[in-house]
Amino acid sequence: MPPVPPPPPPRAPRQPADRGPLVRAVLAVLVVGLTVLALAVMVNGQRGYQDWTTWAIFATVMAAAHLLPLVWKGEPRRVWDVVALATVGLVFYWVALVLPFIGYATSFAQTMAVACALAHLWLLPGRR
Amino acid sequence: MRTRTLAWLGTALAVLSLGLPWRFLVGTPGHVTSGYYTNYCYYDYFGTYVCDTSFTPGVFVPGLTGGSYAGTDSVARFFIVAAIALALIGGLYVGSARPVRWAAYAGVAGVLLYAYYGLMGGLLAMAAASVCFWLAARHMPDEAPA
Repeated sequence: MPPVPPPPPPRAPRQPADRGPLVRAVLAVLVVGLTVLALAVMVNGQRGYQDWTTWAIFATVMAAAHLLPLVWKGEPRRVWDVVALATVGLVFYWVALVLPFIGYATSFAQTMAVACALAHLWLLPGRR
Repeated sequence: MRTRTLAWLGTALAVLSLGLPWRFLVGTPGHVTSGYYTNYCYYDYFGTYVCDTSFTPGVFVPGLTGGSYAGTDSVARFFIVAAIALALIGGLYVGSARPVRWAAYAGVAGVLLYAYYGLMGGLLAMAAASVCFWLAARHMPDEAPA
């Protein structure tokens, strides 16, 4: 009678993959992408980058700050503070310039960008 | 009513006030100004006194479009958004009474700024939101729970 082979060792249960960094990266890219889209598309003969250039650059910089956690591996609390400050700037831009024209398609894109920025801030490590 | 419910109700009323009118302006019709004649008189080569008359027509002065201005179109939007942010972050997330009380103050400041123009839907909704925030703050601890 041939010897019975030993049973295979029990496999460790698969750990669920941490999707947090991926979700945060997607949100950060969406913040920048939607902001640039809202400022680059012409609606009613107006384009953000042409007609309110300084504010458009301000909004773009505030949105781009959401990419910082992807490249800056500093103290999470400090990274969060910087991104929170940028989010406040982006929200102020939204209230001051976008809200009066909330019916425009570009305003919808900018509103979605602000929503993504808030969600990104919420999910970022180091939240106060 | 529970504190959180009051804070949420206040937030909902504040968001509603963004879409309601805050100010009403009566329209003024456009009109055309009266034209005028200009006389240019001189003696010609033969010594005859001659007058040339020209007429400048009036110009059209456009009127102002009347209508109501929603919260999103008025300066009040800064007060509304500030109140919402204070109530959501300070009240519902941190759980402290002070930011919720400040949310009520921000709402009242916006209402007072526009009260001169008459009581409209936006003002009333924001006033109700401020009352909700104030009532919510009364039943909350001043400092965030540890």
